[in-house]
Amino acid sequence: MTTRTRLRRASLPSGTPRLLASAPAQDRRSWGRAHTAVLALAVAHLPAALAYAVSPARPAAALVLLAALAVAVAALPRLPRRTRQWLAALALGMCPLFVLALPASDAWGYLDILLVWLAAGLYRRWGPWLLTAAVTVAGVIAVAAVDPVWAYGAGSAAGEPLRTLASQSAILVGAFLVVSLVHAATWTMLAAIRHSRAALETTRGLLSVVSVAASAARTLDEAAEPVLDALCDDTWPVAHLHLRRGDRFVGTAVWSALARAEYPAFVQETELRVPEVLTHVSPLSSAVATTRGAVWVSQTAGAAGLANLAQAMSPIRAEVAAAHGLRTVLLCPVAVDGDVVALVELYSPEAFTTEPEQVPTLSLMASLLGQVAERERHTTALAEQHQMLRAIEETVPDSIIIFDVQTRLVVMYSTGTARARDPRHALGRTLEELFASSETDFLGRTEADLMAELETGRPVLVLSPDTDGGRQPSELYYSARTVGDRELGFIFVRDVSEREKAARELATASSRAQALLEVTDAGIYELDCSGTVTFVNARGALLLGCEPADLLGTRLTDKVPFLTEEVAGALAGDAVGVVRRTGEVPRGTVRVPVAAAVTVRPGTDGLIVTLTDVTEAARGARLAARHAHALELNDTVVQGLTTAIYAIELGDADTASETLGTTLTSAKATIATLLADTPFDVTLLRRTHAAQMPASGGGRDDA
Amino acid sequence: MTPEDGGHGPVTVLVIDDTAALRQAVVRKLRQSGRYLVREAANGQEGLEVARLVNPALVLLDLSMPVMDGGTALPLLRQMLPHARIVIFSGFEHAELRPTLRDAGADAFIEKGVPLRTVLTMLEDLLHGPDGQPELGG
Repeated sequence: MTTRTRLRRASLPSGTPRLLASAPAQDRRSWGRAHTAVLALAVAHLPAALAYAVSPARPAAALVLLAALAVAVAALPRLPRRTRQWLAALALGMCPLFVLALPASDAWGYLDILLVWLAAGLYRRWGPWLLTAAVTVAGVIAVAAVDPVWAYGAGSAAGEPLRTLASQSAILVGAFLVVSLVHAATWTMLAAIRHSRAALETTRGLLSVVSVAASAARTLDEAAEPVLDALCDDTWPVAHLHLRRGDRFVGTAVWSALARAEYPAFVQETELRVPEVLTHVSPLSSAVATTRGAVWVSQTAGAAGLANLAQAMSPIRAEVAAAHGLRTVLLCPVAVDGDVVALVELYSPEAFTTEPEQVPTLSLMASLLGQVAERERHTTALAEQHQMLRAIEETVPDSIIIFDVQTRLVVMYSTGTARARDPRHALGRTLEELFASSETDFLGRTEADLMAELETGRPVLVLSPDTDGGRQPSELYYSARTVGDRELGFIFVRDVSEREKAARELATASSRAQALLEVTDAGIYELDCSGTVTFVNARGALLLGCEPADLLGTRLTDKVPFLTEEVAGALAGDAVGVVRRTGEVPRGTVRVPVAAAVTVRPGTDGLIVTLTDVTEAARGARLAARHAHALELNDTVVQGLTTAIYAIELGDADTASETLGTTLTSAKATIATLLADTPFDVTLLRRTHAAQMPASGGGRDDA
Repeated sequence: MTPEDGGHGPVTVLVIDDTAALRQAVVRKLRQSGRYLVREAANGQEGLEVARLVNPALVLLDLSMPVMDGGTALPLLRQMLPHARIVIFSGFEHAELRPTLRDAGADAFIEKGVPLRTVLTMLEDLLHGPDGQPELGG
């Protein structure tokens, strides 16, 4: 069962006339059924009525003729409603009095009266019959009081009337007229009341349909279909829904059932030729948008009227409407928060000016439809919000618990991307129950302690279960917000295991770096962009003969002046790579040889300077040089003595003597050099005699 | 002519030593024997150049020299003169160096101060001995 069918069946009370309060159409519709019967009776009755009328013995026949004529005239179409009502009332009023005018034996007369009475009564069904019967009885009594008909009939039979025929006829006619007038007035008043009640009933039925549609339908299209069907009748057979798209109103496929049934060509042609006709720039839709109320566009007969319609709508649409016999259009805007979101277009084949009593009903209908549109808009927005929330839940790694602060009930539990537990187990439970059943280790805290700590605003460290069955450090954050009319608490559970790991690794690296800084033999100094010391390790302070605190905040070049140029150049950006230089720094009364390196600190404007004590290295170099000298001395002596030996062996005494002398001179010079380079006091005490040649060689130990 | 010719011709000997008087004394003694054609050089670099020219059968090489010492020149001489006998003629005994010098190509070691006639005998044995293996000097 479609929504439309369901709404239809549910909304139409039994017997509810599917009419708007449009009296001419209603008259015509209900009159259509009686019209044929009444007209047939009147036509069939005329010859007999004429025969009666020309007979002087049957003066009442003239009244029957009159009544028949009245009914026949009332059957004519295009007579104003109220005129028809009066004529029908007159005929009805007169009918009972025929009983008084006819002889008891005139069965055909009674039959005439009965048939005319029935035909006239069909106009208003059986309602007035009771009143008519009461009036008849009253009329009979009244006439009987004046001059009983039976007296007339009896008097006639006796030969002497109680009154003359003319006077009795006058009385009867007068009585007829009076009773008819009273009856007609009363009946007309009751008819008006009944008409209003019917109109109200119709309106109630329509609004009932609209209300049901507004509450049950999900979209404006769904709600509009049964509403348009309920709205339309013979007066407004064509109804069409337009929805706003940007700054234009676009025709939809929602038409009233009557429109598709009775004006299919108009529907098809409209959809093909003018699907989008109403724009915000057109005078009509602008008027609708501005006034927010129903706007009439009426076409009177003739070309002037068509021009009127065309001015308000597009020429094509006006042309199409006129071609299909539609002469009046009513536009009813559907607004949401003052913004027109749709238009209901009603067409009528009849020419109207205005019917103000219809506009409030239409406006109320439009308002209810507007609620549907508003609900649709809110539902769409809510669905989007829900999708966004779901996307957040599925992408955010943190778990989120939302609970009502007052009732402590969990209203939402998102486990984030890292958790595997089904979050639905938490819904409907209190926060305390959730904590109690949780596998999280709260590190000795009770639920009350935990909440108290959370409410201070500081993160709380706990151990949460991870997907591998172990535990990982997590932090809980708490925040409270007022949403709608209740206060909600938000608890975020964030996995901080990676952060903790990084912190541990950083601490380890820092410790390692600190240890390296302390054990290294090099003095390390960090300088800022002005050359001021911002960091110095212990070795660096020791090299300069002071404490680290004494150096912080001072300029390094005050203590190490030989680096003034290098430091200035590095700070100015002139240095490329590491600049090295050796020099000496004062340490107490001693000057210590150092090797310096200056480099720019990466990522900053500062420098890093290292100083290395090269005292031992210098000493080693000197020792190596002295050792080389000693070797040279020994080699010189050996070479010289060997040469002398060979010279002697060859019998060349002169060469031997000369060689010995040269060797001696060279040995002395070398020894003198060694002695001059000794940085300590030399002892002249020998360990062995000079003439002895110990196995290890040499008479002195090298220093 | 090489020693392998059975001594039918003079043997070319190259003496490399930076002490001129010492080098000349050794050169003189070798020439006096009449069996050697003696060339000399004052350092390892010069010695390589002369060796390339004369292709000696025997080289007397000092260790401690300027420009290029004997330790540096030894492997180069060995590479240049694969069949020659190379004798380290040093002013001191350095037992720790001998394995290294043998590996570098030295065939014998003679300590300076040993009499020249002994040097001569040792060289004879080295060139013409039954096994060609030298004795230690000293």
